[in-house]
Amino acid sequence: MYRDYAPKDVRFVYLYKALAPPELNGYVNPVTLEERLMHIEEAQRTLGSEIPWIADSVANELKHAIGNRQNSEYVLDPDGRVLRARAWSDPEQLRKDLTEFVGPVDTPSEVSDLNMKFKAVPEHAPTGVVPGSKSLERIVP
Amino acid sequence: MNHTHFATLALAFAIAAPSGIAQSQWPMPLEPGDPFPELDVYDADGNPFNTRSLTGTYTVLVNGCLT
Repeated sequence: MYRDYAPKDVRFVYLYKALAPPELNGYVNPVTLEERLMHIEEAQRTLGSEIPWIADSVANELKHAIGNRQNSEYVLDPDGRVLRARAWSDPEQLRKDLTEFVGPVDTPSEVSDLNMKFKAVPEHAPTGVVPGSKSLERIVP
Repeated sequence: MNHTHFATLALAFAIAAPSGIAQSQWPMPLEPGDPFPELDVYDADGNPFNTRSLTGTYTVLVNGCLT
């Protein structure tokens, strides 16, 4: 979809939000912006997608404002108004929407055309005991 | 509704709620015609990004995460 419609001036954005479900595959829910940005880097690495990401605030304000869904999808018009609000992303329906709003493409791309570089998530999460920080040992109540 | 039925429904909801299928049946807070919320978030480099900049062209926004 991105390959077909970005050249037609459609902006695509992924919103990175809190993990859902939390802490699957060894990923730990970010509690700082820096950690959330690290997750975005990992998402870029594993998905291999060119679509830009934005990061929700650590308080998840945007996620709350748009419905707290795991995988919702919005189509906005050029004035920033909602044209479509979908609780779960639906590529087939999205293509129909973009065909309606922007126009058809001559040869719609298939996933097999994209040569996506999917990278496997780590097979095993890090395990074991993390050594305590020496500076913490000096902390006295 | 007796307590047994209520408990059964509550359990069923608790199990089903996290799934996308169950969530897809909850009402969406934004409907066609509503302005998209204007909020301060960040781009992938950590620079401030306000969602009011999602104008001037059609936008597709999908939310997701690593899990």
